Amino acid sequence: MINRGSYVWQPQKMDMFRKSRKAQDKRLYVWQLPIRLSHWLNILCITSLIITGYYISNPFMHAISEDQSIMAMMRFIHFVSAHILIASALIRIYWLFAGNKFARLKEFLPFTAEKRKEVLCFIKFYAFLKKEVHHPIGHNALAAISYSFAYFMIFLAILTGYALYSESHTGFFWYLAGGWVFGILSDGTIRLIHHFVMWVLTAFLIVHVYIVWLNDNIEGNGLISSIFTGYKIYHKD
Amino acid sequence: MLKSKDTIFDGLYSFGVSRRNFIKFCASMSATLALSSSAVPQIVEALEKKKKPYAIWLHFQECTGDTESILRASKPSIAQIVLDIVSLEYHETIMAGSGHAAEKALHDVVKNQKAKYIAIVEGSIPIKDGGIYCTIGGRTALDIANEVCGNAFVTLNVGSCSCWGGVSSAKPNPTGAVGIADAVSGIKYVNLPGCPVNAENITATIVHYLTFGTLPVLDRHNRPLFAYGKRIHDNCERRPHFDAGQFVRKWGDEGHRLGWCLYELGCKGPMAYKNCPTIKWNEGISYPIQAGHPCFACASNDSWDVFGPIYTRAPHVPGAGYQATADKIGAAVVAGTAAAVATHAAIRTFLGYKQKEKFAKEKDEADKIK
Amino acid sequence: MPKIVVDPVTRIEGHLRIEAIVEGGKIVDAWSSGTMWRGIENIVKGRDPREVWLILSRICGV
Repeated sequence: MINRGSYVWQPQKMDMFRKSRKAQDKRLYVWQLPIRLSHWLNILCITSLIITGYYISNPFMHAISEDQSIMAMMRFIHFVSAHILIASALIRIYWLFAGNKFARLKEFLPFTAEKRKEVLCFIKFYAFLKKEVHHPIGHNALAAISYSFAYFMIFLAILTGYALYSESHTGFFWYLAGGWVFGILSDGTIRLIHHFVMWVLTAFLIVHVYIVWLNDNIEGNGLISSIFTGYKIYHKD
Repeated sequence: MLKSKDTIFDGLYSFGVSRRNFIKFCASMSATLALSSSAVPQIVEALEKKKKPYAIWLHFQECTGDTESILRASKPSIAQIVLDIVSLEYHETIMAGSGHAAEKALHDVVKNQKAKYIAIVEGSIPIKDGGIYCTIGGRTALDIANEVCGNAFVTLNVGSCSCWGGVSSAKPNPTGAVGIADAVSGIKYVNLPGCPVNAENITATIVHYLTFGTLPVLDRHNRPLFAYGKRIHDNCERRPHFDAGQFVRKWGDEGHRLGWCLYELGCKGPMAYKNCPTIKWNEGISYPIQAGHPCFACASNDSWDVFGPIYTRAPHVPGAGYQATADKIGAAVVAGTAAAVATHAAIRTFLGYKQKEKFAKEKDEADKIK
Repeated sequence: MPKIVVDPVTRIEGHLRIEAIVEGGKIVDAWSSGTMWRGIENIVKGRDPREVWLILSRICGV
């Protein structure tokens, strides 16, 4: 049983627009360096992948002269970002086993009854049906599910992406990386999945940024700054 | 001095094909097969010495486009070459006999040349309702295929219809059309898809077999790698325009006249595996992209349904109507999410003001009590 | 009444079956049937109109 502490948001003590920092606040080191590194690499790579990916599917800029190489450059950036994203993913996967308790796989999968209750609590909270909610130190269970979902989307995009990459880059390595998918799905389906994940991840981005900002506002625990410094601030009542 | 007409070269010679043209043909076959020029003497020797194998050409649910293609094969008078490289005993479009005479010709080859003849099949087989949507001589296509392909040495499925059902199998596939390999089990087959197939690919496959005694290297869909191993996108002459970012936006615009890339018109070149840019059509004159029309990946199993309407770039979402591209749905998802988030923020703000008022009221009342 | 059946009729595109009843060297009754159907008109229903020509042209390759 992980001691999640007894930190509770109480509406009387802080209203929604004021962050408070009292003497008995504690600074907890929650997000280790590889987590934060992976997170920022993800942001950079995924943003560039979405922009270049959208261009590749729908060229919104046309070249004026033949000396330009817009599409070629976009594809190049797309491929390089994809490779960096893989590196970030590998770091994160390694840290699933090597990190502190907030980095483990268990954090991301709500397998216990307690966590499942937490998911329901948070859904009700976001739906304005509940006034207060118990914020755990690491990820809350609903956030954990959403991150698992996002990682799964990223995994799909990488797999289908490398399958498409193997169309023009022959060799056993690329077959291993994704070419084998053509034995299960057709080319059109692979492209559809790859393209659709782009939209799903954009939607996830919007929701993620908003919810993080929201929680930072409510909790007043420096959630947003924690992804830079690694420290979360908790108030004891 | 006329020799016996048993060997292939003799057959050609008797038709007036000069030795020079024969060697030229062998060289062009070597190129199509992506072999080096050192293979040419091997091909020459094979065609000079080998006896003509028998072949049967079957038509099922087809449009005869593949036959038309082979009749237009080039270098030199290929109709004679096809007729003389193999002994084509049965071909409904060009054979002399009909009715019982035709059936007898078919029956003779199947019986006398069992496991030695090549079956070339054009057109799909319908399997719905007992297969009655295609009958020849009173027998269903499935029945004929089971007998003829089952007894052949190898079956060449020419055209997309016989490879995986083709246009007949496009939604909603009213006749249950399937490719030969899906209808007849346990046969050795080579897929040569295309709509229609490029005849050079057929002749090259046969010549490969005659020269080396084996079928060419096949990919996971049983297509010869020499013809279907590379994408059109990777061999296209408009690729530099693609890389530069010069795309045709509308039919007949300036870019179209300058020969720019047809990507935005929905060209499926990046998904099409075929050697059209290399060997082209009608004796190497042109092919769709060169003529200014986007490729629609006719040799692919996905071309009729999965890729979506031919002039759209974005992938098609199945089951959502022909105008539902992934882009439209994706944009809707993102817009919906943004709207939901904005609504949530608005409600929060509203509740927050209400709460501030409530606190202010409570404070007032508390002050009053004091 | 001898009935003649010619199936397949060759040197045409497609599949044709001709049946005829011959009496005294004259054909007194005859039937012709196309023995293959693909349903192309059903296939084009509900599709983008700009690709209909592509499908319909596959009715005949001659």
